[in-house]
Amino acid sequence: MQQASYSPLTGKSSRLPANLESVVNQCYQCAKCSAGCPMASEMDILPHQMVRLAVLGDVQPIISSKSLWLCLTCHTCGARCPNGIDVPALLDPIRHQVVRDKVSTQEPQIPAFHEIFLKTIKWFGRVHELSLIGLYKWKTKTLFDDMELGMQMFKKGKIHVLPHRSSHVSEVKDVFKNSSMK
Amino acid sequence: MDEIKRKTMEFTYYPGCSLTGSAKELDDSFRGVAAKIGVKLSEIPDWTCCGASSAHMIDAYLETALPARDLMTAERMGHDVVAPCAGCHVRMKHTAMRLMEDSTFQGKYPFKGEIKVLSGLEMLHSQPVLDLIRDMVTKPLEGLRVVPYYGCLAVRPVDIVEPADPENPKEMDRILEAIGAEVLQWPYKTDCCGGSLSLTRTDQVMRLSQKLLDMARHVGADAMVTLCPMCQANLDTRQADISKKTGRVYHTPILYVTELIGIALGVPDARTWFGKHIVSAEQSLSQKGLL
Repeated sequence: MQQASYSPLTGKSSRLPANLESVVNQCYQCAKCSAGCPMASEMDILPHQMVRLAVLGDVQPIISSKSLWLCLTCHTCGARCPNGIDVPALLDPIRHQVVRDKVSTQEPQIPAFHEIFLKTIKWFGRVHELSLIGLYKWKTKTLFDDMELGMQMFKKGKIHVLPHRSSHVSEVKDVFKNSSMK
Repeated sequence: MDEIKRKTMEFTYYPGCSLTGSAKELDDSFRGVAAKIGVKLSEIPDWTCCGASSAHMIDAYLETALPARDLMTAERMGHDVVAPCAGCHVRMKHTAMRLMEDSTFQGKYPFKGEIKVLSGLEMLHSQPVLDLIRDMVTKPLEGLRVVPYYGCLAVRPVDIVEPADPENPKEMDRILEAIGAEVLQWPYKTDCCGGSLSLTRTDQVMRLSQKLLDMARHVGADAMVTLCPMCQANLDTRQADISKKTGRVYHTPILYVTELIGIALGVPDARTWFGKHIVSAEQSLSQKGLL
């Protein structure tokens, strides 16, 4: 259950789960997370800055950042943090909120990809790579990128034309009914 | 002793989506090696997707619930479940942990925690299995210089994977030494290749992958060895683009550790696995008399 908690510093509600907030509050800004982050050079807000914003209950800059979606979820930050703070674990609930509330984002192709990925699971019970790639490329108007590579993969039997439809697909659909992707 | 051996030599098998498509050679080689050393793998009947790298980005319920049904089936099947795909392993083990600690899921998914969720590396590195592999080598991979590439999900998130050493893992090193390969030391064992942005920010993936490939070449590796389908696909498929961009030829085979075990143990159809790669390994392996 997500609990909104109030920050006396900013007067804002952080909307972070309480157990996560308790961990995030241990941050003493050593910036080891940002030092090891493979995407730091591309980010508009660095990992240690995002943690600070979360401590202050000010998640809006994170919501509108590129960093929210450029995070690779490689968890290098979490493995190295002296206080056990895993930045992707902090970002996941914020990403969920952005998707749920259909907030427009920078790097919109990244959440779009994940939603298409999950749609193929909802339809077939498993990922179907051809549907996934086709729909993603259609949506992002990049239909002709990687055509040569796609043909090579197809010839090597790595891409199937028809999806495998699991006999458990109705149970998978039931799981989706309890999610934001009904 | 006999009972322990019997119990550990049979596993429930969760291949996951990649192993039916882009990582077919991982599925074939994992099963081929298991059969050769007498490890029985029983596949979860008509399993469904674990949600991979996408569910946790989009929805908390999907993240935990998508792998739950297959995990419950695995528990009924009675043996520890092995997921060779590093991504599936993390998702399944995460769900196993959540179901045990979060009572809201217990009504629908009453998982008892009587089975373990093992990665491919954990299974191959476990004592009876690694001993069997070492004892059954008929063609040691002498002269093959390799860098072990674990990637992210073989060691992280650390609270889920619980690796012995997240910065310098050695499980794959020991397996490769057991089959006679020359394991080179290098600094990027667990650095990210960018796999999760493969289609969405290909420019960044090329930057991160090039860094790994440059270092592999710098230390003189004949091949990079991994057990992660996302890393393998990413590093294998992007070398042509990196060559085009830089004007230098990138041609480092990216192999699954199970493919190399298969050669060392003389698994009959090992040759067919290597034809699946985009960057061909066949020339460098046959030059060394290994294929």
